[in-house]
Amino acid sequence: MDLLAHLSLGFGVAITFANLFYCLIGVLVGTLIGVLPGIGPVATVSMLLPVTFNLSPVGALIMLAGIYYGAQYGGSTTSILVNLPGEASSVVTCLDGYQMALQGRAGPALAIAAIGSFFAGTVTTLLLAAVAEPMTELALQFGSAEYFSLMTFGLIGAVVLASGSIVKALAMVCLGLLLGLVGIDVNSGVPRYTFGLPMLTDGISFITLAMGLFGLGEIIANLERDVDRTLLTSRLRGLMPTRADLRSAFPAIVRGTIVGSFLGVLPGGGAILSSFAAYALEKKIADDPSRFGKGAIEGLAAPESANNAGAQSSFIPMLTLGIPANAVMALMIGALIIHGIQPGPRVMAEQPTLFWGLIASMWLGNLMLLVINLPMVGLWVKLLRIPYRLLFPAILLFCAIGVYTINNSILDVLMTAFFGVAGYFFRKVGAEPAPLLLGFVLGPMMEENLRRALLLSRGSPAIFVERPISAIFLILAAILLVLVVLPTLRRKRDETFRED
Amino acid sequence: MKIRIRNPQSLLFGLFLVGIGILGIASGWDLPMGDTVQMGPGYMPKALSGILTGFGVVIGVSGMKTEGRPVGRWAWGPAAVVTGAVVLFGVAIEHLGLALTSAMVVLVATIAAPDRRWRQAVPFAVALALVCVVVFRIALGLPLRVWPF
Repeated sequence: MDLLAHLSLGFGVAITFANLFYCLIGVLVGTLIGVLPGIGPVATVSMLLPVTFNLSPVGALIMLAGIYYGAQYGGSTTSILVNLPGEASSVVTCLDGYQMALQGRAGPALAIAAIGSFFAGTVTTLLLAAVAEPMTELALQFGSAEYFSLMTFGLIGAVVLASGSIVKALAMVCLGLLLGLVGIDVNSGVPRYTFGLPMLTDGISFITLAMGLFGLGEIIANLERDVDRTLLTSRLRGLMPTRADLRSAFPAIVRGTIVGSFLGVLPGGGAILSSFAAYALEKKIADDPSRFGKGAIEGLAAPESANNAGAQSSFIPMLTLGIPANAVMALMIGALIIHGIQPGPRVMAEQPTLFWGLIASMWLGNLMLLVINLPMVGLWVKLLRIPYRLLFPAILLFCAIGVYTINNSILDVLMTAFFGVAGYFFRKVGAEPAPLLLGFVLGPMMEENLRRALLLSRGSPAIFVERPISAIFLILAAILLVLVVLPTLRRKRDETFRED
Repeated sequence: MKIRIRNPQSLLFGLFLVGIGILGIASGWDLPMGDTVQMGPGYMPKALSGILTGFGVVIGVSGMKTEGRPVGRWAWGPAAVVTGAVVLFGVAIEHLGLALTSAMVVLVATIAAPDRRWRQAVPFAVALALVCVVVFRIALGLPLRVWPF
């Protein structure tokens, strides 16, 4: 069978000493940084991106993927133990996870989170392997018009399904698209928005933007409010969940996995939406919804499985179509481009070892998380005691070194400082920086495809609706936009993302 | 008559967008537009700048009409210190080398912490500089100068 052949090719690549090592390092470092409160997966991945530049493309992607789900897992640990979500997708984990910890059941809570994540990881790895080929074949038939419409759909979906103000997010997407235009125009060789600065002729460096917006911007925003941490002082007693725990958690894990796998594929899906939706579902079907928020194990198991499933299935559009579903996937695309690989449906055919190796390593990474993390919980708890006054100068320094070492460029460092201030400004005015990054990554591709499509159609925009696949994407995008404007659904959306 | 700003966040963001949009149109003015068949390099920049200006107006106006959260106090101090520390890194790294720069950056950044303790920060900065040299220079082998000489 093809699937088995592909997976064995993948495992052949993933189970080499070097790649296992990168995976392990990625998972460990990701968890280590993800555990630190106030640093989410996006910040973690962008901070560590430069470290992977010297590796082979496969090694780099394997390590980055490891960092991503390591950070996700680390964030759950923090949420359970200190009620301090590293990022939005862990918010729901806090609700019941922290309550369990308060009741002295932190051990089982951590174990269930790990088991649920592993189960979800296994299922989504298989799903990814199974749908990759048909998805790619479909994508290979896409022309410029289809791609443009797909990206439009992706961007609008990302905005609509994410939390926060839609209009502001759309504006941020456009701002990202505009920033993506900076540099020499590939078609005419004319510099655009370079303001006479030679450093801008190649465009704004992706890393400086990501690191500034997410790394530094977050530090400044965190310093503004006093981070108060009520660390659980009680010792962790017994890790193993009881048989009753497992019995009630398992169906929730399965449901969470299903919800997460579907929502993760959607643009803007990924971990955040998945965990919120899974929690809402559990609460709805529970016999006694009042238990939720008071340490219900299903309320922990479902969103934890869902966020891991969502995190992994968001790799599907990234790997097969070259479309990022969320900010972390935008970072992955940036990493691919830096390694000289053009993301898109050809990656699977041209780089089979990279493609299948990455998929196989995802499962291995999840296995490592399960095996390594539970015994290391004690260490993670110690890390949590590091005060922010020591933490942020260290993060800042790593960001600076990371940016500098990409090109040994001082100007890159100064740009990062500039984007850090911008990131802080965006947070202050209630505009999420993630859509900007998506727009920035997709901008050049969108312009290229728009130009090509219109050249083919001799300037007639009708091409986007005459070609059926393209028309479907545009209709879907329009439906999404209309749906969120309708008051009833809008209320529902706000409810789903309500945090308290 | 006194005008009350109902949603300062939106108003501020709207003004920012209008500013960027106008800047985008003005500085992209000389780029040839082309037409829809053969798009020139100026087509997308001007289109996007125009759209941004539109968004800015809509968001800004909604900031005058609907209630919303206040912007809150700006953390000018921490923002300046954090930015300053990164700029310091950029200025110092090629002259002073990784070891001294790292320690300096950590100490400068510490100024931004409301609960800073110098007795803790100084040894921490030294330790972190050591870690950076070991990790980035020795383990990862990045071409970084360690000392000023």
